Amino acid sequence: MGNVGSLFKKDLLLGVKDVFVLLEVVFAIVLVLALLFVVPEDIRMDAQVYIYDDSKVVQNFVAEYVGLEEAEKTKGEYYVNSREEIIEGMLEDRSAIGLIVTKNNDGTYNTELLMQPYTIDALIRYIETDIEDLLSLISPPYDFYPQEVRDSVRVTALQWGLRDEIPFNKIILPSLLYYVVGLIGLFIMMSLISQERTEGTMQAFRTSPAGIWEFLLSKHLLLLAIAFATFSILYLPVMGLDGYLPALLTILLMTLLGSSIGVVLGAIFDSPMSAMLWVILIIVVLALPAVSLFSPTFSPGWLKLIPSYHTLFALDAAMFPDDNSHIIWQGAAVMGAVNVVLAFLSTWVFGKLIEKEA
Amino acid sequence: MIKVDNLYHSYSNDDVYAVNDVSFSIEKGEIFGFLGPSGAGKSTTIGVISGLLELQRGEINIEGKKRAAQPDKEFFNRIGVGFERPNVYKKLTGLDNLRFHASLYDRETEEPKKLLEMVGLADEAKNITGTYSKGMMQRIGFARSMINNPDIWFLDEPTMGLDPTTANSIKAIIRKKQAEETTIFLTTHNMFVADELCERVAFIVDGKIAALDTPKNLRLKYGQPSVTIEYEEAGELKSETFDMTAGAKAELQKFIGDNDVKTIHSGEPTLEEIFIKVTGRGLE
Repeated sequence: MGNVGSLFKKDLLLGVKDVFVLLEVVFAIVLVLALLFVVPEDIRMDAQVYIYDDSKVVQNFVAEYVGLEEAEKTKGEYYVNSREEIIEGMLEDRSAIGLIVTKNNDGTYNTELLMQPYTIDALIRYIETDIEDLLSLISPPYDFYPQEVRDSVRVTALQWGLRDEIPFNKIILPSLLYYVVGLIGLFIMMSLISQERTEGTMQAFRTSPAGIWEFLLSKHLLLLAIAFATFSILYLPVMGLDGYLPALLTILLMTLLGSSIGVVLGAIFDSPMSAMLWVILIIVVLALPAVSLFSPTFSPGWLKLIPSYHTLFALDAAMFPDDNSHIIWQGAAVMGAVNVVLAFLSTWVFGKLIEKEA
Repeated sequence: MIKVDNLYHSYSNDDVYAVNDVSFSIEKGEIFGFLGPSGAGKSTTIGVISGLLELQRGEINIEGKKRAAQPDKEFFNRIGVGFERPNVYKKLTGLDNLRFHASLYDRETEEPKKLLEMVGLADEAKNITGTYSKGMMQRIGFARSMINNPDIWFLDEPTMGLDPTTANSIKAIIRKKQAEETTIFLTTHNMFVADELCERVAFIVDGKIAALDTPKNLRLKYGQPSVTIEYEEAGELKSETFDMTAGAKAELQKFIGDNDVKTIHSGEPTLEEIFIKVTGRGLE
């Protein structure tokens, strides 16, 4: 075990001069500056609504309750004089929608909703309901949602999302941490091992009494140190100490997973560049669970077999606590178990492959 | 000290052997050499005996004890291996390279600065080895191989790529270590190195030992001593070579009496000539 100290000191000296390690740190600094000073905290856009209201029913209602000028200023609602004007406005602003309200002779109203191409059905239905609701308030014949019905509706979510309140630069941080810190273990481990092999220092080391496991353990420790440093560079200025320790634990476990895979690839391939196809393939597989993070309704069972699934959700839960701390510990347990198995397996495979090199 | 019996090694794990039924022994404090061309199986033999390569078939005994398939820490503490390639961390200084390797052993090690002085790199100790010349890196690798004062020292082409002065200082260090009872197994394709340093030499070709003896005995057994005479004839310097067989001796005496002899050189065959005679192959 005493050799690990010497090996770590040597790896640290070499690591600070490794181009990939330096790039990683520089990249983390650039990213955190971008998150703090370039990426806006709020990227929500209020859609423009062009309204042609021949009956003036909506216009009068809004003027009465909100004030027409105020509505145009803050809500993005514009009253126009024809259908053509709406279409013209929608062509100019691709996020805008249109609404045409006309009054029938029997005193009822017709409404027509103009949407941009490729608008999702769920959004159209939502706006439809909203308009019906508005008209039911304005005009009694449409009042098929009495107030007491509306009041009786209670919405309960299994997990309340706080996303709307979280600044955008924080929302994207888990994914950035995952890609910039969590996955980099794979690449840097390969770089460190290939350097030892091409310079022949691995060969010299193998004639010493120190073991291969000590050689690899030292490199794993170096990667954890690099992950700790780059994680802190990215995390602390944006998030402060909120969720720091559980998020750090999660990312360190992910780094270990990547570095164990890097050990095997490092023994097979001469350089990270020659293994690029495999590296990309592995990164794509490990990145797949991000789809589920961004679209939680997509969560098939097979996706959970990819270890990084647990990292991503644990990281998200650690950073944005939402009565979901069990996800962090579940993720840590799964990743811990996977790492123990992978660390032993990769060391054994590495020893076997390296034994063939004189 | 070291006894190797019926050693085989195949990189492809089939019947194509890089080392093919090799047997020899080395006495304590002896310098034993493998002489052969590139690809003859010299480095593979060192690789298997030093534990770098898997022991597939055959037996290795160290001081009468059978070496395990996976050598233990004790074995690695006692050996030193110098490679044909320099094997240095190019981003570390020469001193840091040696300090790092010294820290890996569980026995008393040499002082890195002393070793650097021995190989003539004391002034370069604090420079990054990436800035060293190839010869300097070779010397750092050589110094590293003796950092643990090895009892058994494996040297693969120890003087290759070195200038004559540096090569001489390396040879002097090897002789000094031998005087300290270190057992030395070296490989070379340089007949002069083998001739100068080795007490016994094995000729190796295609993974097999073709001959094994002292350089002197190899010459006596396979070589033919000769005499070259330079003489003047009609104002022109000419030369004639006679072998030392009984019939030729009389002819030589007659030639000396009949000619205006200027110089007489006795000659004995080089190891390379004997190597070619025995194996039918050159050393390059």
